[in-house]
Amino acid sequence: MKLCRRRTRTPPVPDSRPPLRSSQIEAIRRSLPLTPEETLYALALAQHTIDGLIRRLDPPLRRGRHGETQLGWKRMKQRLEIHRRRLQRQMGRMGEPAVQQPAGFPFPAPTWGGLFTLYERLIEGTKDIRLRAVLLEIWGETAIEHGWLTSWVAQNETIDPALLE
Amino acid sequence: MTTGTELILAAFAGSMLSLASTGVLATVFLRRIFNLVADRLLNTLLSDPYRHNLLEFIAATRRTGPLPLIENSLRAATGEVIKRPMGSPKTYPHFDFIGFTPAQVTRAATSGVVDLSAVIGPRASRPLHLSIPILIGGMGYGIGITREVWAALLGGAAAVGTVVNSGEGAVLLSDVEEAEGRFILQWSRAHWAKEPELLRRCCAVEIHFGQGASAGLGIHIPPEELKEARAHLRLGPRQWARIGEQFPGLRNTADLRRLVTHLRDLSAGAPVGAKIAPGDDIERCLETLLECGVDFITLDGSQAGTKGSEPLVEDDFGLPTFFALCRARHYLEKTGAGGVSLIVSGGLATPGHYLKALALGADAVAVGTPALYAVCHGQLAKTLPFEPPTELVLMTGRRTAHFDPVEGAHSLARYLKSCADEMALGVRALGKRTIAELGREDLFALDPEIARTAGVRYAGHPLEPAENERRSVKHRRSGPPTGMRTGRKRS
Repeated sequence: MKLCRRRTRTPPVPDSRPPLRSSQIEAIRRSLPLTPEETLYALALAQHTIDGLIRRLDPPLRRGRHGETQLGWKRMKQRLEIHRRRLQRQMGRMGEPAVQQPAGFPFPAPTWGGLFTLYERLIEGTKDIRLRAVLLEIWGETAIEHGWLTSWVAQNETIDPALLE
Repeated sequence: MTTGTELILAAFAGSMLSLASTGVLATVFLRRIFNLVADRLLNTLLSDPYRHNLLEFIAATRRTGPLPLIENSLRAATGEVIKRPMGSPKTYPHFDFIGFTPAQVTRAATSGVVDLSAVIGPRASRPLHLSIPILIGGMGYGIGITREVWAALLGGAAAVGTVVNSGEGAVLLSDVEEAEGRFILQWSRAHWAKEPELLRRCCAVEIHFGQGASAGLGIHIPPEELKEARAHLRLGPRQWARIGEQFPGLRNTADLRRLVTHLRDLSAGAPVGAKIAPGDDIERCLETLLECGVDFITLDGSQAGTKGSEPLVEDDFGLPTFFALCRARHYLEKTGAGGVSLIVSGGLATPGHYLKALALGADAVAVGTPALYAVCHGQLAKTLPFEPPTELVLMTGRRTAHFDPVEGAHSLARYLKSCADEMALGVRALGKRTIAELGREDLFALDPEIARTAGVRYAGHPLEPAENERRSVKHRRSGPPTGMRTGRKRS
């Protein structure tokens, strides 16, 4: 029988797998419910972003080197304007067609990444089934249009890559 | 073979028959038996002399409540100092005696999104920005809660853009990296959680002088309670975890000033603050801390909870949160130390409490017990009804393996979002658009003493015409904000 054990000291252990991953935290963040005020703000911000993207992309693409670019952009612009009007109608359906930009929240610079984040946050955060259906449709169409931008335009036109991100 | 099957069938039929007959008998006689027992009991209670009567227990508990009787029994059972989890049950003058004045006739309620963001340590090189003014108070992994629970608190807080305090426990770099370092590193009197990398990654550093539930006392934790956290606390297999009563090498204000500067340098400009359990010498403590150049002060009132502390310390030490906040804000205003942020904690349980604390001058509130219960939401069935929910979250719990950190983080995030939305509603009902616009003029007190302490109007006194005019001018001035505020502005 061992009367006394050898003294041991536990060496510092390497960090084991974290119980929670950043992707899970991000998923939690996206799924949090939105209040009507936040929904209206996000819809207004999405419209502002679409307007900003059209404004920034229009000059270079309208005068694109290829006829396909000019035609493609014309179609894309129409599609984005339809999206903007649809978002406006959703705000009207919520009773506030013209929400003023909140004073404490300046709208950020418009980017495609920002627009997709907004759509995804709205889709996951709203409890309004009708709004979610509309946004899913818009999100899908936007993804297709953005795909054309990042494939055809990026390869065939000289354009600032920041406008495509 | 046939005989065996017949025997089994006969036994089954017999047991069924006996069960059925017992059920019939019970149905017929149960009411009668129950009535008989109740009659006997009532007769005994109403006729036995008092000295032999069970009701003397009720008389005894009416005077002190059942808790002291139970706690005295626990003392008698072990002969050791007992430790009560989750703080003192005593009630003090609190935020419930204060109300808000709704905006309606003289000014309207506002609409739209409310700016709930807060900044802790606005003077620091990299101030701590919070999306909501609620943060999760110090609960340490290994010392109090399990790693899974701490990760859930961290994840839930990060999801809503706030932070969690590391408490006096171990901090794993891999855990905090997943949450983009959304944590306050508590600089305790223990030897662990002092790695320079943690200081570089944290959002703020809080020097822990004391806390509401355990004053400035240290702690001894036996090895068997530390479980797998022992290795993360850098302790040997038979070593106790010891948090002392004093910081090694800290003898005077100059040493403390050096420590604050050192932590600020190591953390690359993160706000450095101090957490105290306020007493009647709160002004002296604040004076010393201001001298040392802290960026924020956390006041942990006497209603604060802990994983287990001595009833004497919980019940009879320290200032209640309400008094501590009022006196601290008054002192900071008087000394012109408006740039020092104030975080309050201890006994705050509802969005109403949080909003009132902010209106009285806090920059943010820290919650402990509500967060712990929120993190357990949906998982309480794993312990109840035979064990308390703490069995799921505390290191000493017997059901910790059943805790789901992802579900816990989700529940906490939803809880914080719900509280923040409710607070935003409160701000709109006051006719304001940011929490920075909240002030004492929005409040009234139902008690003259509370009104005097808080520096707000007593609800029993009518508004004089001159004061009425002054208030309406003030409200007109506090109209819609003109731009994004980076910190709380005080007059």
